[in-house]
Amino acid sequence: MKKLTEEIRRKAKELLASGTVQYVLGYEAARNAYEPRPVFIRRPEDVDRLVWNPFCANTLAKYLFEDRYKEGKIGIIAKGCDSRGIVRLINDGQITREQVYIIGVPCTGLLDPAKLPPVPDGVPVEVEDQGESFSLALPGGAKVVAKAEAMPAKCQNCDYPNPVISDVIIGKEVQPRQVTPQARYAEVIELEAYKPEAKKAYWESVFDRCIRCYACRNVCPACDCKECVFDQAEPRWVSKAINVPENRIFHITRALHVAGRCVECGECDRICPMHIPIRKLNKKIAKDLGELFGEQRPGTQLEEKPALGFYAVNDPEEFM
Amino acid sequence: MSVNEPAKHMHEETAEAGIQEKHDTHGAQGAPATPEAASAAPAADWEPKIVGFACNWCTYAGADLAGTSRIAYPPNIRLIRVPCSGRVNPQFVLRAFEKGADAVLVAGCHPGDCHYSTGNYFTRRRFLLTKRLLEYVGIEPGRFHARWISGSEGSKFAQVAKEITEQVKALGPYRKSQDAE
Repeated sequence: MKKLTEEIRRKAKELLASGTVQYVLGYEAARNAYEPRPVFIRRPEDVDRLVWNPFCANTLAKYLFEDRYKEGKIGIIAKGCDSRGIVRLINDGQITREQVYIIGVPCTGLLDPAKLPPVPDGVPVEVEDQGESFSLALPGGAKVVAKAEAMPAKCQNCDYPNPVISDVIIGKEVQPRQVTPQARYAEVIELEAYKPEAKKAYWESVFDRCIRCYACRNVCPACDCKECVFDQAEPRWVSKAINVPENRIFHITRALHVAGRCVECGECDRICPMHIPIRKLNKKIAKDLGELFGEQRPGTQLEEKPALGFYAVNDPEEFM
Repeated sequence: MSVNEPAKHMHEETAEAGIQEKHDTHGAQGAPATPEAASAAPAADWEPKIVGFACNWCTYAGADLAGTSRIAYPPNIRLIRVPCSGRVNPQFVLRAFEKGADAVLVAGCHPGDCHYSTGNYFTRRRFLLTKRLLEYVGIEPGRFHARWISGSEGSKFAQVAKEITEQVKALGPYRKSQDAE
């Protein structure tokens, strides 16, 4: 990972020095080694702040949307899932391909800090990729963790580890995993088998936890309306009240608004302070769309239309 | 969005007022004393409230035909006229449930017959998905319906209203939450 960090710094320096980009969006070490934070690098002499390791989880794509007054190109570091978020923004007309310089980094999987031994703040942790495992240089000595155990769920079933679009690739391309729909949608299939009352009870226990912080919306590269329906005062489609029925409407609405547009980056799940399995809704929609209208993987190609943005005369007919 | 919607607002308010009114009479005639009693069985005089979104060109005319043909159908269904079934945002359906509907019907022209050529093709895609999602979060399959009812199908409209009412009566009131009400 040290080598990748070096290469990223070199590339960022080159881009900034030549004036190709206005700034580079990347990650820098923060208080805790497990939580690097997004950083904007504007000067070539600052590039040494950039780091790269399996804790660089945040999707930076959303920052492209937040920067409303782009003056020049923006350099952005993107994993496979992040690059799909960038494609989402391009396809939605929020940014143009020319506005970004994508520094693609093929991803060998992230590490979930919750599945690792805690480290004290301020202690750096070097990580090396070893194929099916990572070796971590922890204060107590080196530790090897298997990817199958320490990766977040979204990485276990990731079949787009390589950036789908990029201007430059740092590191070696990764062999994508072969993921069957059964494996990808396993938790959805399990939940679908429940009886209606059991489903209702399950989701009520989930929606009961929601505090309506809207972090899932804020982090989502597909949530790119200039004015969000949840912020509108008039008409106010969804009440601001926090209770199970209102939270249910909030979550169904959010899921439907990204239907056919969700790029499966899993940021909603990661960011949720109440550990609501938001992807279970997104995945359900992706599964149904695949079964009804043919498999589509949003954010994998430019100029694709979202599944609800067009129709086919021979779509399945159930509403006779 | 807000500029072009006064008509829809009016319809919606009317529908909500209707629902609210029904609620009040229900309460006056003796609401269940405890939440336990409510979950066990609906009150004897309980009648389901069904919100129907009817497209102006087909289903609304179909409902009209049912009326002028003197075909009886349950008064539980309250129609909200929309220009096209494609106008129906899944948000409307969610909001209807939230405001106390026990079931929702979205009805429009048969695919291929849309007054605006393609509106109902979008409706079909959208609600194939919404229907599955509602079931996934635990809303019983009988509570959401979509149907194609043309202007000449007055008897079909009455039949659909009858079917849905019967189904919802069997299901009981839509409970927004286990501990609410």
